[in-house]
Amino acid sequence: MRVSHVPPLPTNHCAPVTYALLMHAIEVVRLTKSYGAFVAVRDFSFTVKPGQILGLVGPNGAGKTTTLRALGGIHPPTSGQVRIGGFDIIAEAVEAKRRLAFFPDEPRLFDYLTAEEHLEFAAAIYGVAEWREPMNALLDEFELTEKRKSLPAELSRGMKQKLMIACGFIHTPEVMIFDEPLTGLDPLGIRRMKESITRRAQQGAAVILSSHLLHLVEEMCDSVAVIRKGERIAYGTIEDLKWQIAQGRGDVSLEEAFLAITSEEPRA
Amino acid sequence: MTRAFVFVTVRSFRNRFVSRLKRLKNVRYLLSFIAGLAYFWFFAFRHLFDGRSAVRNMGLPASELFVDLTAVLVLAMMVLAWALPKQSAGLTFSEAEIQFLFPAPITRRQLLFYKILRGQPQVFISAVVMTLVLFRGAKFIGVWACFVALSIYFTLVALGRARLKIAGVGFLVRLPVIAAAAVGLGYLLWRTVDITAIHGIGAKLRPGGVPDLPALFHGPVADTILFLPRFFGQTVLPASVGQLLLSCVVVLAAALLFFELAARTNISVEDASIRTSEKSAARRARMNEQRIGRHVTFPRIPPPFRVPAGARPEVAIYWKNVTAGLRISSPWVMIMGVCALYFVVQSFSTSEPAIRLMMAMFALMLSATFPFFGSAVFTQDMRLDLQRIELLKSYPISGERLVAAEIAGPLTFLAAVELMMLSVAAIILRTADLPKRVEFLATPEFVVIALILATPVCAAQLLIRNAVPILVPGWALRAPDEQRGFIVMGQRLVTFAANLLVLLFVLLPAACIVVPGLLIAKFWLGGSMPMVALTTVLAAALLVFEVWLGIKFLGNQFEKLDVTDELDAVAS
Repeated sequence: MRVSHVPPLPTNHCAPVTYALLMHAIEVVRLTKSYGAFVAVRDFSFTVKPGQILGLVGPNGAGKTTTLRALGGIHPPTSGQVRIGGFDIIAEAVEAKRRLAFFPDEPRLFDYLTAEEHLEFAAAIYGVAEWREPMNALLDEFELTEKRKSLPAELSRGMKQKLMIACGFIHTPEVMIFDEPLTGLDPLGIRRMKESITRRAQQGAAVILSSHLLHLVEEMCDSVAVIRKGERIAYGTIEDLKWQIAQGRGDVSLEEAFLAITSEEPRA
Repeated sequence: MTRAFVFVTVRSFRNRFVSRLKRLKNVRYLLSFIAGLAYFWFFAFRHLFDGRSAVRNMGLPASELFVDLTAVLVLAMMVLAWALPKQSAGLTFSEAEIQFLFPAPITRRQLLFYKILRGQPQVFISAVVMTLVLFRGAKFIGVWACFVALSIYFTLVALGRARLKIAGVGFLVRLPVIAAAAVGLGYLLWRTVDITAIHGIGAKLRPGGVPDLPALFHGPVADTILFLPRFFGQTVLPASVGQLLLSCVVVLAAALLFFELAARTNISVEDASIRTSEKSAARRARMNEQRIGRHVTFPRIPPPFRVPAGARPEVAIYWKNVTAGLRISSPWVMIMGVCALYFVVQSFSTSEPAIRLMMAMFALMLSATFPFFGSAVFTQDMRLDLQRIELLKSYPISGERLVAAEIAGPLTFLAAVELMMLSVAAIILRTADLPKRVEFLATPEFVVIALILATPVCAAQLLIRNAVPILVPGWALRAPDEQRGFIVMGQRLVTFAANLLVLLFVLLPAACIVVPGLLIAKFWLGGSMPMVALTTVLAAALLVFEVWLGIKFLGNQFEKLDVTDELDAVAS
């Protein structure tokens, strides 16, 4: 049942991209991450092209966050290679990270900077010269304009999440890595966030999104990688996955496909 | 139900113990555990088995006098507990306990029983420590029984106060009544005191003296008032095994009675307990936030400058940390400023040379120690950013540049305050009447050396402090339930000792340049200032080079740092 071909470029994403369409924005080759004897991720490979959204799904403890952290350069892989925009995340870390925005599941903001100052700081870190206009636009987009002078302690969990994501958007990253991006958001916030992420993908950003909300993955992503016990057990477009699972039994949801895939033993 | 309660109590205690034990497989934790254990041994338990030690003789002898004194202490606690202002029925439960137990089909009596049972491991440990440290003449089993009974009694009193409040007897009514009762009991007891028991007590307690002192209180009044408390005294300081057993039985029977009474108060503890538990958690979080170098005291202070367009990421990190320093550590800058001003004003307004000398010495001592303790106050660097290490690691900046930028912010404050304090000390020293052997402190050579070396020394000290979160992140950021114990104590000792050692190691090469340079200048070049300045600049350059090496090393380590190993447990 393994679906292992590289997914084709989505036809609905035809907006201009910042560099050659054929180039992979994210290239992961045989990524392995171990902690002592425990192998958290084993031989995980996939690619994401500009404009594409890849969903990373798997049961709890499958190795999703470990994979995303390795992609974000937060911890070095034990073996294998991760390339962001053509740059190796270890050997050319600075160049790779300049193209990247990593969004952890828990918004950890600086307690002593206001919302506005967070955006100013993020702009400076990524070398954005003209940041005032994008900052105002992002504050508007994430409904934080009224809270621009507030410290994180004065913001709700959802607002913190939005602010963290706004900080990641300010340098218009070519690659975005989201770990459970919708946690803590209200229904309207979820809808706006989905639109924000999709729009940026349409503008050419390559996105990896890890979530347990399978309907969200189904709605937003072009392709999906399923990981269990650190191993990739399925990879392909959502339609391919569903078709493989359905086996002519008619239409199935991604949730059904996911349950069917993850209930089996991993293959060698 | 009792089985479930005992299970969770015993398992929690055992699991916590086992998880701590497992951590010792890690050499860094083992090292800190040994250091912590050694500290406790040398400062608390070393004299336990040393017959010659005076500390061993501090154990109270099992005499009637000390039984009476212990009984009075117990009585006072029992009476005064009713005067405490807290009058909600709130008992502190953990979030998990509230989630599992409150909706569970258990009676209030069972909930109370669970609460008392859960407190027992702590009561046990307290009894062990008290037996070893304070009541060394006592029998552990007696101290434990005494503590068990008292812990249940105080729960009864807490619920009793809440019941009284419901009955319309509030704190303001209780307070005078309890005060009057305490005074009355005290007066009645005082009338029964046998002064001869106290007479010559010092001589009798000398090593080798007879500890068989008679009772302090006599007569039926004293016997009535102290009937129960004396059993507590006898459990702690029994004269014989028979007395120990008897008093333990009575005290534990009293404990059962206290529990029965507490259960019969039948007061709604649930809502109040949720509030109490929330308050307790909030207090802990607040205390954590308000630790020195973390609490945002002045959130509205504007950033000192704007980051120039297209500036390097290092500038952004520096900007962030200076802004943080202004908002968090400004009070310390003010305190140091006020101190400096006070020293100057006091020195120049007095005609007493001794006061001027004292002010000069204070200023000098403060500036000499400030790089060390000041670096614990200005923590707006890797230490404060450790919680956001995921974010830091995703920034497009090399580890080396990040570490340098991180310490630049607090260094600005530390060096500024240090230079101010040194200048103040130099000014006062020039006017002070110094003793011959410390006259060199007021020489221009000394001032030049101090001023030139101040900033590199501060940088070295900050770098050492920043090594902890990078090399041993689990020591710098601890989970809420890991703030105490042998391991944490050991970690603090090891980091303190390592800090001093590394600082010494860093300063040694610079000293090897400065000292011979000074000697040459003094004895061969007639105190040549250019020579002094040259050697000092060379030493400062060497220090800067060492700091640069340290930054390169820590930057490299930062890039290798794997946050998952140690920090996930803290974050969760």
